[in-house]
Amino acid sequence: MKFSDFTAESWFENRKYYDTCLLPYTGLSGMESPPEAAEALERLRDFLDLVEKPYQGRIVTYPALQYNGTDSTAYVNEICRKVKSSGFQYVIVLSADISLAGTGIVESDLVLSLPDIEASQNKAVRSCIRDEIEALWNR
Amino acid sequence: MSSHNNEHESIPQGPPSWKEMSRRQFLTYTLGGATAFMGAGAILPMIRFAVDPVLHKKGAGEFIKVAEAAKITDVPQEFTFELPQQDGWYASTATLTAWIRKDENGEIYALSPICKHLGCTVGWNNDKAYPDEYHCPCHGARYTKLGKNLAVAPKPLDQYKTKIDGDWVYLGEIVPNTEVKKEA
Ligand code: FES
Repeated sequence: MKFSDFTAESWFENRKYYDTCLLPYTGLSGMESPPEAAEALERLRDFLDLVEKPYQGRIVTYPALQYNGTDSTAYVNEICRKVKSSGFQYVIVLSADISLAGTGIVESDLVLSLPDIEASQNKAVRSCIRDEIEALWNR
Repeated sequence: MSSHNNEHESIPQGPPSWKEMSRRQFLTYTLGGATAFMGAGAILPMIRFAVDPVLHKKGAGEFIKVAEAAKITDVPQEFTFELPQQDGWYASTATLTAWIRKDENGEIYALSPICKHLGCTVGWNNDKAYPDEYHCPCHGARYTKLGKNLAVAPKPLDQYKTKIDGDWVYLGEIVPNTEVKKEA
């Protein structure tokens, strides 16, 4: 579910089931034209769909981190840390456009980056996501 | 929200186009939710919607050709298909999944894999500890091949209305499970 799908009551009642936070990371540089920025968001939305739908009873999608800059890694790590201190057991950082492999996002439990998946897997993106997420929960 | 079944009592005037809705939807998270709340303040979804059937009203009565009847065995198989749907005022195409098998009497039925706990997607035979069952990766709900709830979930898996025409299996709207009762 998205963060905006919860009311205070429904969150209070069900939070024990939602132990995983999904942080979308758009990775805009600021140089994009308006339509390019919109396309980046649409790619992010389509990639997010693959994660949100099958796991909507356990994963909460938070508002996205939009821009990518010099200190982004530290920033993303800081957000991950805070999200976990608020009670989530797992944080997943997800990007449709930027490679996250080796970027040092060490505070997240899993990074899902579409460019990385496409570069390294012969499997369908969907089944790769499933394997990664379920391995995270079973670890 | 797009995959949920929100029953809106009053449809707002002048429904926005698909594109407007889709943009508004992703702005829900990209801009922090304010736009979505303004646009859809009256219809804040409640959590139970997650487990209600996807198809509703508009989809009622329509059947989609999904699988060749000859290919259906007693082992459930997964089929995906596209369905034009109306979710409140929002027209889109939903990608749906059904697990289809035939029972001992050769009757074909199709289960919806949406877990009746909180709406995650179940898989068939995907937990080695419990062979030949549907298993939910989120909180461990389990179901028999008829969709009967064995753990965690409060109800059996829903099923699709099913029609056999010629050599094909057609699926319609999602309805509460009747297979479990048949066996009892
Ligand atoms: S959503 Fe399936 S067990 Fe909770």
